[in-house]
Amino acid sequence: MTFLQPILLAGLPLVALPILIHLINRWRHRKVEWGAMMFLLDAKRLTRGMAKLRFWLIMAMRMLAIAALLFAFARPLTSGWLGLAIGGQVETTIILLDRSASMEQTDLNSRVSKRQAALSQLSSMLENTGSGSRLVLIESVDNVAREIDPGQPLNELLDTSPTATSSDIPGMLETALEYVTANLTGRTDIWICSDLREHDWNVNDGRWATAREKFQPLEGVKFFLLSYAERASDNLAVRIENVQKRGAKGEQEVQFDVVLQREGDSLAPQSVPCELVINGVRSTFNMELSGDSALLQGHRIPIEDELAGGWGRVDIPADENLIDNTSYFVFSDSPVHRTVIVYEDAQVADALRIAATAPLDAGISYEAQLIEANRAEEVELENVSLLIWQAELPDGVLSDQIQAFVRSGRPALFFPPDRGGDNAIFDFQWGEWQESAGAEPHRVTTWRRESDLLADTSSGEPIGLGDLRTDAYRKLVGEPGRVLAQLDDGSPLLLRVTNSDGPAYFWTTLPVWGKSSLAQDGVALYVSLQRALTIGAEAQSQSRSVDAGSPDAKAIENWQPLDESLNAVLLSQRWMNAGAYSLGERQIALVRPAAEDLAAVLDADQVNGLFNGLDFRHVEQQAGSSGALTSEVWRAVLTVMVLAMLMEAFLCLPERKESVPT
Amino acid sequence: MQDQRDFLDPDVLARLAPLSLHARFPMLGNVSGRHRSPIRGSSLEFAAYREYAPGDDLRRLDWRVHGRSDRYYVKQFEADTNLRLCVVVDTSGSMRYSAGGMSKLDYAKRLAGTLAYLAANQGDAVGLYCAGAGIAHHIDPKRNATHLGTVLDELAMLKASGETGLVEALHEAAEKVPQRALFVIISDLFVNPEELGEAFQHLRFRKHDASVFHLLEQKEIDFEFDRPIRFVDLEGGASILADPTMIAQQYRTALHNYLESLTEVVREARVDYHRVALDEPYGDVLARFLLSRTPKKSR
Repeated sequence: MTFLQPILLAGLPLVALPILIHLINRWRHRKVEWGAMMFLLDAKRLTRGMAKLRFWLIMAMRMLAIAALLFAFARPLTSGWLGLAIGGQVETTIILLDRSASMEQTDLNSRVSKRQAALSQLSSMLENTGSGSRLVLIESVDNVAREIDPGQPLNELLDTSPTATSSDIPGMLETALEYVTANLTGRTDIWICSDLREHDWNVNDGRWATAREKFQPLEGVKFFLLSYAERASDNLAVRIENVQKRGAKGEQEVQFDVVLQREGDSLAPQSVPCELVINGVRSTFNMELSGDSALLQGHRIPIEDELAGGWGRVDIPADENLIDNTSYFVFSDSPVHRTVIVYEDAQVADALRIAATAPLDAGISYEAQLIEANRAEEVELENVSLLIWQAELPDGVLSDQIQAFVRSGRPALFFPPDRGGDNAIFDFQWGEWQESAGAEPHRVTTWRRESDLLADTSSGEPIGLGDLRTDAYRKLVGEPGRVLAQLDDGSPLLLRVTNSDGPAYFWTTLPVWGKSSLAQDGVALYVSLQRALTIGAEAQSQSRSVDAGSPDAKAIENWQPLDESLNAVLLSQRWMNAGAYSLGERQIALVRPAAEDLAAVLDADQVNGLFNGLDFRHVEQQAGSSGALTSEVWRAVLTVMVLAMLMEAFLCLPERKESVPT
Repeated sequence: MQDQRDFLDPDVLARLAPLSLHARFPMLGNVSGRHRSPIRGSSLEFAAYREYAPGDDLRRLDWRVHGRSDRYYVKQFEADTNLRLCVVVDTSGSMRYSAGGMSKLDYAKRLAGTLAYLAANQGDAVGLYCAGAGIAHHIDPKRNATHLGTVLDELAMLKASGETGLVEALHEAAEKVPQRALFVIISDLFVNPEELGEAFQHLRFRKHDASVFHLLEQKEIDFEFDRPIRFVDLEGGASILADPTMIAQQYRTALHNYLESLTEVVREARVDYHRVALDEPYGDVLARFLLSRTPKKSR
């Protein structure tokens, strides 16, 4: 329980006043000479028992009345057990708001979403408790700590509006940690509002352990998780994947897959009407759904020959979550997936060429151009999707060209040369070769499975890096970088540069015998090259699809909406919501991250494990919850006081005098 | 000594002078008086007829009856005799109690002195028994002129102290007074009712008439105090610290039970019982007492 005027609780010793007065009265007793002692002795004997109980009840009622009066003046707040946890004067309140698409799940009765319920309850709680404290909002889209006006209802803030993004809860916690340590926030309550989706929480992320470790020594930091993990009772999510424009002249068509994902209590077969809009033209089709998902693969829609590109949208009927009922897509002619390989070792170049040109999609052309290192200055990057550099790092003009290439969103992959190492790019340069020299080869101990080149497959299967052997690798000197795969001695095997405006990677070993088994266990090499190639091709392409809320989505600030309905979306909010936009010939579709359609949530044990060692309270709520987290209860306390006084008065009522026999 | 008889109020004496003290039962006196005797005498009050027996005074033959029935009957008349009044005053420590006005003992002195005066004035014998621990002092009933002075002097010197010995005193007095007498007991009666009942029965067994003035202060009945008090026993027992608000009800219950027992005891022993509140003028109390004992049939 917390109090708005806790200073008044200093008067609590006054509760002992009735006993004190009683003792003083006894001490100041009068002396009376008395004759009728025989009745007095009888009375004393009879007094043991009920009369004593009555006396102590009267005392207890008087003490209770005083205590209740003091409590009422101190203006107590309560919310069941939560009231016990919230205590003391909070100097800073930090709200970590999950604005992911799944938080838009709505209670069908109240039409209040999980996000709205969380904001409403937090506003009410802050109104009761947060007067005078600093209020900081960290929302999942920007992941930036912003101080906000405590008097403004949270639901009215632009930064709390609905989005079609996903969340990175450990990342938000890192931001909160930075804020707390940088601003010396003192007594701080951190409120996390989330629906506990597994992909948002990413329990295997190493940042959890780091955050725990760094939060533990901080005194006065309390965590409150306001969770809305309730599953939808009947919700469908639609998604468009693998959009391609294909076909010979006169037979042009758009081909795409439609994925339906169901979350709910019933798995009964049903027919789902889907409305398809392509370049503003509507058509409908039905999808048969049985189980929790359905896939309509290779759905084809003929288009006009002269149409170089366009956009489309698929809608399904409204249900519990409106955000996931629409999926946008854009299409255009697919560019050739062209790779340039600058090499020093022909054997290496050959392995890389094979991996880069093995067709992932039969409808796309794959090309690779091999350039020897001594002719590196001849490299032409204009229509290239991916640059692979296995030579001494470039310098001068060439270095500038490559950095511009990366800035355009196309990846550059650097492999170590046998010799050299003086030059640097992106503040990295090669160090010495490290060989296992007959000892056991190095193994990969950890790799980033949640995103980037080594992420798990769409089915959730990890890429098999565990079997990869590394006999020799080259040290990498420089910073900063994000390690995507780490060897057992702590050195990076694959690292992504983080001080560039585009994708640049460093492999520290080579796909040849004697260096590593990258070529023999070719999956990791092939997947990483193809993913890099896809990133490059998409950057090259006139049309591409990116996750709403991702850094790439921010580029659409000045783009024009392709769908008229998107005009209603505020400019600042467009990049975090689904839509289709264009700038000249280029088109972009902002889509809800695929993981948002996965219904898996954390259980209480997992949540408790993540906050193990921290001062943590878990408050489970539901979408549509309108009950206040805290409320003033002085009326109830005053009622207790009145009841206590009435009880005391009743106990003090003189008993009916017995008539004296005449 | 005369100054110590301030418990006699001339106004009260003058007011009560027309009233006589009567016994409820026949008395055996040694001189003629105002009270009935169990022995036939020569008063004007007709008692009964009796058949003539040789030796009877012929002057008492009822010739009218003889004329009607031809039998000899002798007329018998009641004998009037004097009364032995034995006043028993309780002098235990509890009689010292006062709620602000006069103490119980002072009140008792007034009752006893006035009654003694009235009795002596109508030619009855007066005696005094002081009940402390047993009979502390006693003056046997006599009817000579100076005896009243002795009784009043003794009353004037009475002090209340110590434990009560009323029951023992009554037993003792019942044995000591050989002939029928009227016992007037003035006490707060803070004794066991059963034991008191036995003492009354003893008096009644000895053919004595008994009246009780039960002195109680209103405060002793109400027991209304508002804060803890140390009650000091006037009869020398241990003191008790108590919160009256806690025990008042139990006190009243105990008092109630005691008075009920006492009522039962006096009813069984046919004792003339008068409960007296000390705030009531003693003259009124005595007037009521005397009137209640006046025979209904005028002489």
